[in-house]
Amino acid sequence: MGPRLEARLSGGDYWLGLPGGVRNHPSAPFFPESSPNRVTSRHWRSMMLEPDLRTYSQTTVVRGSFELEEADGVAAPAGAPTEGAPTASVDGPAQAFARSRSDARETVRARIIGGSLGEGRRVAKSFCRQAGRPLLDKMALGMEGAPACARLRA
Amino acid sequence: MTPFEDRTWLRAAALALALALAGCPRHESSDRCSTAALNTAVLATAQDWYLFADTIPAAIDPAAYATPAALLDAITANARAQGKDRHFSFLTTVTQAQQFYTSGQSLGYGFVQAVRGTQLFVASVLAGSAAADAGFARGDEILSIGTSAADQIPMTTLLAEGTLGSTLSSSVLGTTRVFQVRRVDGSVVQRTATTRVYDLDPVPAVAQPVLSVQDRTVGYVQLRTFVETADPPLRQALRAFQAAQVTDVVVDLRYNGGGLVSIAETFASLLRANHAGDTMYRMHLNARHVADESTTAFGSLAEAIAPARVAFIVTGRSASASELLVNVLQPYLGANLAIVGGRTYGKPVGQFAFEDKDCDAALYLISFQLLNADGTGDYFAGLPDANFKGASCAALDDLTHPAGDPTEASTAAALQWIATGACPTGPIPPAVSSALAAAAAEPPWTFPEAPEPTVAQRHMPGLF
Repeated sequence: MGPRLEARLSGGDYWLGLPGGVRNHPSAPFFPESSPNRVTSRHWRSMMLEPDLRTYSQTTVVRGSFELEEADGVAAPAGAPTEGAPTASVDGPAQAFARSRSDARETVRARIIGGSLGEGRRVAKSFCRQAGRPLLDKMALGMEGAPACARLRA
Repeated sequence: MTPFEDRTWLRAAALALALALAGCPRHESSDRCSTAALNTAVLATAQDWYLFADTIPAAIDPAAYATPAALLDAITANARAQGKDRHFSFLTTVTQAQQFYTSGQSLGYGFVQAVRGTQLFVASVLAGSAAADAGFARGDEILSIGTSAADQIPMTTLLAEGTLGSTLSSSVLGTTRVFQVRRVDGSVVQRTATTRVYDLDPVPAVAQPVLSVQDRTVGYVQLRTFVETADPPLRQALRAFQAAQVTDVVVDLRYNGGGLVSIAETFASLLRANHAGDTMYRMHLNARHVADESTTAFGSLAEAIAPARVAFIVTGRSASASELLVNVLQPYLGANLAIVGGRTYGKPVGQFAFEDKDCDAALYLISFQLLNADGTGDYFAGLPDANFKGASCAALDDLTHPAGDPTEASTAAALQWIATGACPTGPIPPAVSSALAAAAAEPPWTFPEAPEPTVAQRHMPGLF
């Protein structure tokens, strides 16, 4: 399976996680040590159950903090994506974000799940480009942390 | 980005990195947060992304520098000599950057100070800060400062010795200072304030946000800095303008040294309804990343308005994102846009943020230049420049009246230009400071700088 993209807006800053690039990253506790390149469907489903999301302004972009310490025991509410069929749902927020770039662009958070590192990087670069920002690959720069879309300060 | 012409920022950056190194709990046993590792990362990042990468000295050895800040100083030296990177690239901590950009907070007393000759005045007071609680107001002259009423140091001494910033110690939580203050009415009072963390109040409330000038209805909004928390109040202000059916707008950026480009984009779109998709700016990168260059368009926002005329109140400390806002609108508004006050600072370039959270270290490196729809964005000497299509009106920053008060000099000039298309005192001259000083028989305002400026102080000159 190729990499999939999930994007959320958060109250904090954003980062873009690549398979293999987020091992031990403090912001990515849900990536199991045993399989850092792939999340289980249980974890994945839990990511979709973020309870703090809300509609923001006139767009479909959502905003909320994203915390997931432990997926076990999380009950899926009615209408939640089922195992094995999350792709359509998770692409939606990213597209909405790309359409509404003027809204809280600084706060988008995206994760790429599965696939090879090279595939993930290509998706990441494409995602950043949709947002009008280049991808900063920190690993290539000798810096710790996941690659990220550039944040502009002026 | 607020300019810091001296080298005090280096000490701040060195301190930030020292603190980062000290606070590196997850890697105490490793050398990933060591000076050597950070130096290597700083040089690699600069060689890859620095906008002026071709100016980096060829034979630069990262191991030869005692701190990342010293290395960055060497990396940027040639661009600085060319006037292109006047200490715009800097190092700080992730924690401090997030406190400013994302949380919209700072540590200190919460007032902006301005110097004229040997006198120090309060230019602005942030609501909810210690300075506001202590009763400070725009126009107050601070006569002396001490730790008590008994050990007051005259302002003339503090300014002559360059010890104002260290005496205030505004970046140290819980610092208490006692101030002797002469109010605008001439009375002298004593005020006491203690530093604390406060919200930056990026869009301050004003007494008259909507003004009637002849047959026009003018909205006034001030933006102190481009932080994330400015987004909701900006939209709220524009919704009020919609409701009042304003015909024109005054945007006050007089002490605004920049911040998030995303907030500038939002503000620009708010001032240009029904033009979503038009080019806002093109991002120019260095030769290694030409393929990553992109164009950003105006967005469609529900709160947007379409004012006939827009006047921006600016000073020599209006920089970066403030200048970007003016520059992206002027190709479209042309002669219906004016800058009022003084020539802006001159920073058409910006930084990407390179952060290492585990080391709490952040490199803000000049990485891009933003060009407007006409392809212009080379105003290193400030706006207006030769490509400027709008009008300009020279005006003083009148501290004896609140910003936004129709009788305040810059506000009055902006309103007159909106109403008549004419300026009360003529255009902004090339050497604005001397010309204005001559016209007003007063020296120009300058803004004191902290010995170790915080991120907030870099973007809000004179903030303590």
